[in-house]
Amino acid sequence: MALLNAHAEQPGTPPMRKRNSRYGQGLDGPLLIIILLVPSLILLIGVIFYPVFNTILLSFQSLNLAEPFLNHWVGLENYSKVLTNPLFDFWHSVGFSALFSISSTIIAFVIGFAFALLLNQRLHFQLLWRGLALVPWVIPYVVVAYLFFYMFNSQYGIINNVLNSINLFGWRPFPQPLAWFGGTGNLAIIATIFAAIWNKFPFFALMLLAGLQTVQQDLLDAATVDGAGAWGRFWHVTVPSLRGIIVITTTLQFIWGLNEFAIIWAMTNGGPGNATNNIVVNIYRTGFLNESISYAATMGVLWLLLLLVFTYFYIRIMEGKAETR
Amino acid sequence: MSHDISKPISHDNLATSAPVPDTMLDQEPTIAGNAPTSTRRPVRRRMRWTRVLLYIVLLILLIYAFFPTFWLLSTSIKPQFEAFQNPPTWWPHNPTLYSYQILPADQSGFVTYFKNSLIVGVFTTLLTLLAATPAGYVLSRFRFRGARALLLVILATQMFPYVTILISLYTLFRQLGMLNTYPALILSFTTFSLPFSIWMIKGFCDTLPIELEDAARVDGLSRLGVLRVIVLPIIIPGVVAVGFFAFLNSWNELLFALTLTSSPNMRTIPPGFVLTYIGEFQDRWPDMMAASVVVALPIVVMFTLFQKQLVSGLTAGAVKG
Repeated sequence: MALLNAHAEQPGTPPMRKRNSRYGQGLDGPLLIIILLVPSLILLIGVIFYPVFNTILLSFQSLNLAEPFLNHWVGLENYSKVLTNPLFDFWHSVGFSALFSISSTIIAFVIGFAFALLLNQRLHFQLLWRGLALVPWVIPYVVVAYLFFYMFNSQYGIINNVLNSINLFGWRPFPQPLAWFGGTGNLAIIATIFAAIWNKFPFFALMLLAGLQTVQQDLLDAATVDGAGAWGRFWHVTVPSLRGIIVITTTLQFIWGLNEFAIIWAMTNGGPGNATNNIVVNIYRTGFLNESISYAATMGVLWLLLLLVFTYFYIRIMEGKAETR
Repeated sequence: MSHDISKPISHDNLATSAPVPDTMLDQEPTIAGNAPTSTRRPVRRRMRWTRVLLYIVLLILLIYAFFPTFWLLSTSIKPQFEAFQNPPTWWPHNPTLYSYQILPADQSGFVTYFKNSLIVGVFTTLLTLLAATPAGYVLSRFRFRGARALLLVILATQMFPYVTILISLYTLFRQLGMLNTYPALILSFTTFSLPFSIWMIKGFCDTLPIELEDAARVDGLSRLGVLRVIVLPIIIPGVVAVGFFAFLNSWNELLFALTLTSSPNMRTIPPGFVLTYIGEFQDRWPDMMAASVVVALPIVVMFTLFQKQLVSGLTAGAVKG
């Protein structure tokens, strides 16, 4: 199926109109197109394009909600401050966003793929397994965050308890309880990524499982006859036929992960210090807690530009896929 | 039956030793038929071990996948003191439904949050579907100037960081005096559900054969009639899936809801949880877990009910296209 307009036709010139007098009349052509598109266009302009335009304007002003009347145009001053002053934590927060998103997407993808492969086998209680495996995905993010926050609690959390009880022939790797949300913050980074993976992997499992069911059995059989083992079949038949779905799901999750807010905010508030301060948490803190709307807008515009570069490549991939079909 | 396994021949090395011409691909039984039946045994035994291994891997994955859910349920029926015990009790020693029983009393605002989330979620879903269904249909079926550009722009907006949009929406709603209102929440939530929905519905329409619509038009249906009578009933699974995602997004949304509401009466569940349980009741884990279970329940039920539509809906766009 092509990406764009698989069955599109020219409005107003249906092939059979002249031949049959009963051919449907009524609203058609440009007017119909406009009427059907108008609700979406109004919403898209009102809640997406106008706000983005307005944010760009705000990034050249000095709006602070604490003193809105002192607002004036400042040119590129905000940009030079945000990009160079380490107090804004801009580059670090971009870096953490990337780290958080890449690691959670890759690990969730591997686990989700494993789940999809397992659930694609003939198992007892298959439907039950499938249903249960998807539960983490439909649990609200805030609940996920609190659940893991509780499980990672340094005093009575179950994770510290299990780690503490590991005893390999007298060697105990974690004799002391770990302070997950204190210290340098490295453990907090792991904790948030761990929660995000748990939340993400069912999405991959669901999509890849649906893809696996379209992999043609005759291709797999042919590969078997040609001498391919299980691994060869997986690598040379299954993965290539899932290429499209793999590209789409990982890209979507990567972008969503870059903009993650709920899990990080509810678990750590960006802390300890700035350790889990991703770009969205950073913008939220700057704009709404410190009320420096214009600095937040500046970071938002820079972040938008970075993502647009990425989106450009994403669309190139999608279009390339469309052309090969 | 003979137990001769001195010459184990698996399908694999059988095939490598004697390459099969392409024309014989569909006639595998003849090849297997040449080998004595006894040689198939080790293959089967290996299959059984693979199966055992499979179940072990499945078990580990399932523990990872379900232990947190189990912990959520288990903690929610523990009495307050037991949630703090070290070492933790794996199964509640003194199970109680107390944390569930206090929810309707609305002491921590739970009922209010739930009601707000429901209202905002339902209206966001309706608004999204009303706008996205006709747009998706038009973008699938009509070719007009700018259609391609419009599609690509909609695709690109899916990648926009919502926080960038939020900064302006906040200042805008503030100027209009619309902070702490349902319309502000509903309108802002369509920001992320609309582009995705248009794309998905376009995907479903693309999979429909155009001949069906042509036939209906020959029979005298108007364009709108075709959309209503022919197209809509067929793409209903897709519309259901899109609606579910719009609802799920709205139900989960924290950033916009936290920013656009400050009054406790207008908070939806996510900001309500963050501001209530973290602040006042930080230590009431069982209460928080019980509330979480009740929050997760509608989504899990909806997901179970619509599972088939959701999977086919999701994949119509993504797998084939």
